[in-house]
Amino acid sequence: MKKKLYILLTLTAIMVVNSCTTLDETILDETSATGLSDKQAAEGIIAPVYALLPNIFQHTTYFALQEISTDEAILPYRGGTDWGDNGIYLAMHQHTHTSTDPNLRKTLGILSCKVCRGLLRPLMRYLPSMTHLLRPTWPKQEGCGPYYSMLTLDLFGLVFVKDNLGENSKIIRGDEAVEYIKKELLAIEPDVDANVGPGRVSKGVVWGLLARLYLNAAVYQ
Amino acid sequence: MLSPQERLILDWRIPIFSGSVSTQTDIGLDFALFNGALSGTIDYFNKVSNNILLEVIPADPVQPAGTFWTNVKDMTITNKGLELELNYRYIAQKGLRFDIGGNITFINNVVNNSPYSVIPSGSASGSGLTSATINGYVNGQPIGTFFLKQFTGFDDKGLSTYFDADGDGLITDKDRIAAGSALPTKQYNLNGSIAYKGFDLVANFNGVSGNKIYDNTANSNFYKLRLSKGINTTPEAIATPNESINNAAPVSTRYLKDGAFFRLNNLVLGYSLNTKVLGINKWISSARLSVTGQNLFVITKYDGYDPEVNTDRTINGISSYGIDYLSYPKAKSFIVGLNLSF
Repeated sequence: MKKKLYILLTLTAIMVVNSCTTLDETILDETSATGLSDKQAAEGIIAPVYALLPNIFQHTTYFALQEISTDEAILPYRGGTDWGDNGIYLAMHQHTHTSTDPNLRKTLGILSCKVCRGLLRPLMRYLPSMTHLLRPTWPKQEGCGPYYSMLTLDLFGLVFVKDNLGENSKIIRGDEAVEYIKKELLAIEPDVDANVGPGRVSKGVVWGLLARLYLNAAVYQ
Repeated sequence: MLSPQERLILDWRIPIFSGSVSTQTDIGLDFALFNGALSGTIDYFNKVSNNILLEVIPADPVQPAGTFWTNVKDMTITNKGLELELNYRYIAQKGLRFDIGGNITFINNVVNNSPYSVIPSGSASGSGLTSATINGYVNGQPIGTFFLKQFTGFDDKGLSTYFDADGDGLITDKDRIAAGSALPTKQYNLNGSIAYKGFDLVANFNGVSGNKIYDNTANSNFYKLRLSKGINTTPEAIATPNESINNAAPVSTRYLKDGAFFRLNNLVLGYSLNTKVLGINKWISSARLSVTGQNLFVITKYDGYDPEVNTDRTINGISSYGIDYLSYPKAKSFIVGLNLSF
């Protein structure tokens, strides 16, 4: 009996001792706002501006709108085995599409979302202490706003103007829209770096966008 | 102390949601006549749900996210109706006993004050149908309404024609109409049993009417153009000789079918042996032989496998109704049983 008790006690002791080890875990990947420096936090907020950029140019978004609507590309109905999509590509080609067209909605959805995320100026008020940290990258992000606005002007003939997140956007068209984008681009031009790698807004990008705007101004206006 | 991200999230004004609010009124009457031989109930119900929670596209597209959840204040979904139940029981002195009963429910469902022209649901499945929707919640119509282009036949080239609802000369999504609902307006059950001497027979019927079914299976598999691709199909595809071999098969009322049915759900025939007379009651106290048939017949105009169908094609949490896509038929089963008690 005593022997059994001792064995039981020993086993319990082993288990208790074994289960109490200090865990020194190296956290490799974890999303936590608390562990970030101010600069990392600020950059984290800016990242979404670029995040969905490639999605605008997919075959079911920008490509469909720009190419299928012309004779450059056609997607004929071939027995519903490929790209019948309930006739949306036929409608796009015949210009009988309506506001329910999923590709149109997707493109406008992504773009307007981007315009919003491009509107980073209102964020400045949250980050007064971080502005100096962001200086090198900040204007580049702002360059995205006018770029996305140019796309909405080119595709849908309108630009959303929204300076505060709480209020409703104002819609401007034609001459007013061109002037707005021009003003925005010229405002950031002096601050933008000349030497940044691809995929980011550089001085050259701003000039290129301005050139494109001037060349097409007659059409937009 | 909030981090910048948290403060940012707060400023996106994520609203606090509440579930839909319902108010319900029920009035009922139970009665029994002739010493309880005839009994029944009458129930009236009226349930109004408002503050409907929906995932919608913002009115101002310039938002950090493409859709958001919101409570639509004035929108209501009203479900009202009448439920009747009647049972009759008869017991004769000589061992004949029977009862017969039934109930019927009349339902009227309607969506009102929706600020949206249409809330789509029920995404179509199958090649050539990507992005098409079948159901639509529109004002003045029940939930589960089929919101489709109305198929009107074929033109001289053998191509499908549709009703031009908005009269602009083009057939677009704007020509869609409310073409009936997946919710039945009537649902009924019938049950009866009869027992005489050792025999007993129990039957259960059920049925619905006033509803439609969207045959997505036919839409994506039984159309003529499949032949030109060298793909197998069914006689339904070539039912119309004047249809062109190049005719497209988009989502339309062409594949919307009447969903009414009447089914013999369950039938049991049993015989209880009189163990005393047989002289085996020392060993076996009771014995019963029975045959059960389930789903013995269904009367319906629906030519898919089974009219009692609902393939879930929900979009953004908005339920789809009455869509049949590659669903299995219901089995017809027979069970022979022998119960012995010792």
